[in-house]
Parts: sequence; structure tokens; C-alpha cells
Amino acid sequence: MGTLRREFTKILFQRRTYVGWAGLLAVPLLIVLALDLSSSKPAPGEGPPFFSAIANNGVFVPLAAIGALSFFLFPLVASMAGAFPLAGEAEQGTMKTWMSRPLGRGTILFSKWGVAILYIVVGMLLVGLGGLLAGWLVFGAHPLLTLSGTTISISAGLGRIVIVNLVILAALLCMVSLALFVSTLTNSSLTAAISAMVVFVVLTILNGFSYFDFMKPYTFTSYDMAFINLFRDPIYWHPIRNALLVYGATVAGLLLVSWLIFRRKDILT
Amino acid sequence: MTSLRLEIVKILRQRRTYLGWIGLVLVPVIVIVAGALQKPHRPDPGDPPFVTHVSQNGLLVMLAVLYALASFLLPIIAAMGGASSVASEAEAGTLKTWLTRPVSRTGVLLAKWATAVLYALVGAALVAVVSLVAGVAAFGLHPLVTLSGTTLGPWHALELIAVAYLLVVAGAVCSLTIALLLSTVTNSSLTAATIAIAVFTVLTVLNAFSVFDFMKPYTYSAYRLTFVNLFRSPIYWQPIRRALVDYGVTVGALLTVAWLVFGRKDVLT
Repeated sequence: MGTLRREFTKILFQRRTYVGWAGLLAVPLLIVLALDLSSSKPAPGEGPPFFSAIANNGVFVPLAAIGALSFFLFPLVASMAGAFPLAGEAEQGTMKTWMSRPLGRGTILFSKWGVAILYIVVGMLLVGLGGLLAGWLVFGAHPLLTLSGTTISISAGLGRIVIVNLVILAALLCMVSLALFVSTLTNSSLTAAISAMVVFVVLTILNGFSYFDFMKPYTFTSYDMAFINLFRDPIYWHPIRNALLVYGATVAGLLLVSWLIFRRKDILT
Repeated sequence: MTSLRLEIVKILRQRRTYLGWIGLVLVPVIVIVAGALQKPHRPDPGDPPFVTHVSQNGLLVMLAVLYALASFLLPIIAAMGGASSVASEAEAGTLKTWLTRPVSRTGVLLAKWATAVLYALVGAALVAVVSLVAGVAAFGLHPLVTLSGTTLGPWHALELIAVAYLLVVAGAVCSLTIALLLSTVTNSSLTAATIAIAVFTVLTVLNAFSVFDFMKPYTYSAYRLTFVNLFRSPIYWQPIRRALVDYGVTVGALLTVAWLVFGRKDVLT
């Protein structure tokens, strides 16, 4: 735990950390601002999922915001968060010093993975709480209408929004692990982050063609809409369970390979 | 010119240069494989133009691929090119050495910018060549039906497609210049690239809301699909002209700021 705490202190001293958090927090606030100012409300089904529901109910703001972010911007932040802890130290030449302490390489690798997750969790909290507060102030809070047409209480709705965030967090763990994996191969944080993004975009494009449907069950990108099923009544768990299985296998596989590489890596800087 | 040649040699020695190009070239490969093997399906009105009929004409592959390129991949790759220019030398600790040579800072900055532009241009050219050769081999070369219903001969169509590619690269140069500016401000190439990609994404999202329509004429992201207007008959030049003016102003302003920052920057590494 001491290692993780030190890693977290490190990222708190970097400007990039706050730029990322501020950018994430801006999204729900911009959504509220845009919908409040616009004279024509979006028609049902228009825009990202749950967008049209916001104007009648502020509780939907954190949900719509995390949903919209999960398609591109959050994966981008996750790949940045996953790429930097390892490769960034190699770039600054502090990795060797860090390794001269009595720590196992496994501990170092996993604390770097852990700090990336912590970074994302804080970002999610900002989006969720910021969005909820802004949405509640501007549009009020009412019981939520599910996709199946039933109504659930505000507290039940908030509980489901928390689960949505956890599912999306699991998806982002795939991006973090992918970026971490590439950053064990290269010493450049930029290469690691961009490679992870290119893999993400290429997989997304592959998922768009029906010919490649056979690989859909195995790619983590094809479950990007799974969280919507949490807003059916009763909750339709089947796709969510599948998504979590794939996320788990992807993260475990990538972490294992990263550990195998990092364990024997020549640390030159 | 020597500076430019040296910069080009530098990026040719970096692995990420080739990773970026490979990522770009994967897109036409996917589109062709999917188009050749996919069962024909009824076109969905939500599909972007050209994409549904890919398997009928090799030229359509070039246009379908350009869609994916303009909306995602080229801005990412261009941001990487722009960000790695100044900041990655600062990270590697070679910027100081470079500036001890009898070169002006302006010359260095412009050479780095030109190299990044060249990088994006080569990437787009690779994509164009691969999609043309493979597309024609798979689906044949036929006259292109424009969006207005008229027909263009294959050669004339090829000329227009070349112009369309150049237009998309010009749009990506805006992302690239943002990344270049940021890489003079920060010493981290990852920060510079991430912010440049995030700016493009956020602007694209803002362009989708009617409240923010007032800023549409001024944001470069709003013009990312203007190339479609080349395929009307007669060609609808007005939005293309606007796009070029907007790109020119954006790039000019960003480059000026980058020059002002870099001209007086403390180069410590």
C-alpha cells in the first residue's frame, strides 16, 4: 500500500492530472448548459443514450454524461493514465532509482496499474457528482423512467447509476491494462498511449462490420452499450455478465503478459 | 532544408512512426475484407454515404476509408506527430544539443512542424494507395455515381478523391498544430497529444448541439466531412472554401503562438 500511496503522490504533482480531471468534469457541466440554453429539447432517442430524458429529470445527467464519455473520451484518458506511470518514469530517468529500493518488480507494476485505476475512479466521481449536482440544480430530481416504461425511485436510480459506473470502469480497466502492457514494451509514454488508442479505434471499426461479427463476443470494445441494460426493468443481466467476463479475461491476460515482460526487462534509465 | 532532412531521418528511426502508419493502413484492409465477404444488406439511412455500396466499386473503398480517417484515426496520428516533435526531444534530453548547433529556433520549430505534416501526408497517401490498389483488385474500377446522381469517369473521380484526401489532411494539420503548440508549452509529449485529441473530440461533440451552432463556422472540427461536397454535381465549393479559410486561420494562429512560446522557452534538457 505504501507503494500505491507514493505513486498517487507522484501523479498529484503533475499538471496533466488536473487537466484530465478538469476536462472530464467539464463534460457534464457542458451538457447541462447546452440543454438548459437550447430552446428545442432533443426528441426521444436522439443523441447518446438517455440524453433526451435529461431535460425532465436532472438525475439522468450523470448517467448520460458517463455514457457519452465512455465511447471515446474516457478510453483516451484511461490510455493516458495507463501509459504514463511506467513509461513516464523511464522518460524522466527515475525508473532506475525507484527500482534500487527493496521492492519487487511485481509490486511496482501493480501499484502503477492501481494508481491508473485510482486516477480514473476520481475522474468518474467528478463526472458523477458534478453532473448530479448540476442536473439537480437546473432540472430537478424526480423518480426515473426506465427503458421498459416502469418508474424507479431516485435512490434506486442512483444505485443503478453507480453500477453503470462500475461496469464502465471495468471496460476502462481493459484500456489501462492495454496501455500498461505497451508501456512495458516501449520507453515512450506517447507510443504506449497512442498504440492503445489505435487498437481501440481499429477494434471499434471492426465491430462495425457484420462480417466480423464472429469476433464480437471476444473483443472488449463490442460491449460499449452493455450498461444500458441496467436501465431495463427487471435488469437484463445477461449481456452485462458477458461483458464482465470478457473484461476480466482481457485485463488478466494483458496484466499477465505485462508482468512477464516487466519482470525481465532491462531498466536502463 | 538540412534541418528538415535531419528531422525526417529522426522520425524514420522511431518505432512509433511505423506503428502509426500500420494502424492507418489497417483501416482499408478491414473495409475491403468486410466489403468483399459481407452479405449485402439493405442500406440503413443512418449510414454515411458511400460506405454501404463499397463492394460495387473499388473507388468507393477510398471514400469509405476516408470517413473513418477524417473522424478518428488521422487526428490521433497527426496529434502524435505534432506532440512528439518538440516534447519528445525534451524527454529524451536531446533538445539542448540540437539547439547548440547554428540553427535558429524558428527554423527548428518550422522543420518540426513540416516533418509532422509530412508524416500525416505520407500516412494518408499510404492509405489512399492501399485502398486504391486493393479496392480495385477486389471490386474493379467503375465510374463513380455522385451524390447528385450524375456519373463521373474513373479518372476524374480519382482526381476528386485525391483532393478529398488532401482536404482531410489539411483538417488533421489543425490537430497537429495544436499538439505542436502544446508540446512547446509542456515537456511531456503524452500530455500534448492527449489534449490535442481531447480538444478535437470535445469540439466535435459541441458541434452536434444546436446551442453551440454559433461557434460552428469557427471550429475546424465542424468541417471534417466537408470533402463530401466535392462529390456533388456541380461541386459545391462554398463550404470547402470556408473550411480552407478556417484551417488556414487556425493553423496560422496556433503556429504563431507556438513560435512565440518556443522562441523564448527555457530549454533545460
